[in-house]
Amino acid sequence: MPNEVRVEIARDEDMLPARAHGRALALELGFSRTDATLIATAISEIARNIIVHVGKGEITMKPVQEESRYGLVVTATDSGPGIADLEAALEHGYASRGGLGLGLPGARRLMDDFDVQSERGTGTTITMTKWRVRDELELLRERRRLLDEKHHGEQRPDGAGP
Amino acid sequence: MTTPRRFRSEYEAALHLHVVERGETTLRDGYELGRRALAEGVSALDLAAIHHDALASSLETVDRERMPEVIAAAAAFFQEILSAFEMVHRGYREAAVEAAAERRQAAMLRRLSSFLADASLSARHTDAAAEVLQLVAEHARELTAASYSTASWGTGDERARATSFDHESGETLDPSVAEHLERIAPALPSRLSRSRWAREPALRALPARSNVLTVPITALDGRQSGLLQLAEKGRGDFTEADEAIALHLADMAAAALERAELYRRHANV
Repeated sequence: MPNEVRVEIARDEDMLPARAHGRALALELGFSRTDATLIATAISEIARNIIVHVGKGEITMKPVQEESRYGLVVTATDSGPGIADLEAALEHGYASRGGLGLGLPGARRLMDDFDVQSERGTGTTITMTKWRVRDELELLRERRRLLDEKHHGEQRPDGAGP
Repeated sequence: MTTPRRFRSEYEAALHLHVVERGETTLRDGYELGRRALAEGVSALDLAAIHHDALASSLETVDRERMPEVIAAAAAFFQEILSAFEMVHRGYREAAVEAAAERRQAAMLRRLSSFLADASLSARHTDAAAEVLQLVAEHARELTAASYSTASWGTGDERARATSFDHESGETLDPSVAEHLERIAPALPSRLSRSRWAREPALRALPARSNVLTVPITALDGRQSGLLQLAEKGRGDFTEADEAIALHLADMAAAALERAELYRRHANV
């Protein structure tokens, strides 16, 4: 499993490392190029949200593994004023272009899971996840690899494998 | 919609740069251009044409053997542009699904309303209450996507009750669990999520684990005379909108039940 990556967001340029790490992690986890692009776009939207409405915050990207799927969890936190009308912000966005469906609602629609915790005066945490279901062949290969490692573990102390 | 010439030339420049640099910076420029295209009302068809022209001009100066990598880079750039359109498109799709659900709800409510107003309901007064409750239980279940529902009215010998469950999936609630839920209804919150079920002392020991929506059927004078309860919503938990629908149906039921009672008294006089 690749490592968690944390990026501070304060200026427009900070969007770049966040996008690049998100894309790289997604590809490492086996997401398609299309999904990796959608993830980079969702990250850009929440980064923009922090830059425009709060000023600064951070974005963390973390791979998760479950038996039948891999996920990329993106968490954006800030200690800004919080979102006054969460429902409206999630439904229509609150920037002038939000009406088009960009911003937070746009990010929500590109990801599989999306959760916002926001408290007035304390800040906002957005957690969003994209999942990739692992197919049968992939699971079979992993089972075989694990068995292989078990049998030959001592002969191959380097622990070969991805 | 005409395409502003400036947008076209900026797109061309950004694509040329990406084909040379192929980094996150130029991909980000693509993403920004995609957002701008949306805001400026550039259509997807225009974008495709602009991209095609820009790619063709990029390829003019490229050796034959380098063409595949240039085309691949251009494709990645075009994906960035389109991802903003994808975001918006998903929003439209979501809205269309919601609108269809609302239309369906409105049609069902109209149908139920005309059923309940049907004079024959009050003519066969002995069955009137059971019939009203059955109609309400079935409509409430369908409108909230629950697998099980029950509606009851009155007390003692006068008590009438109807249940409805999803015949297609065959899913229903264990009858003993359903009875228990009705008994403890006053202690339940109007909406109980599946996760909260496990923490509820009065429910923890039960074999099933469900989500539950409970609303009173209240008579005109304000006394609670019945109960509408729904359970086993398949996808997610009951929402505020589900609760509003259930309350609306409970009101319709109360009005029909009271009218039936009036008819009956009138006929007995």
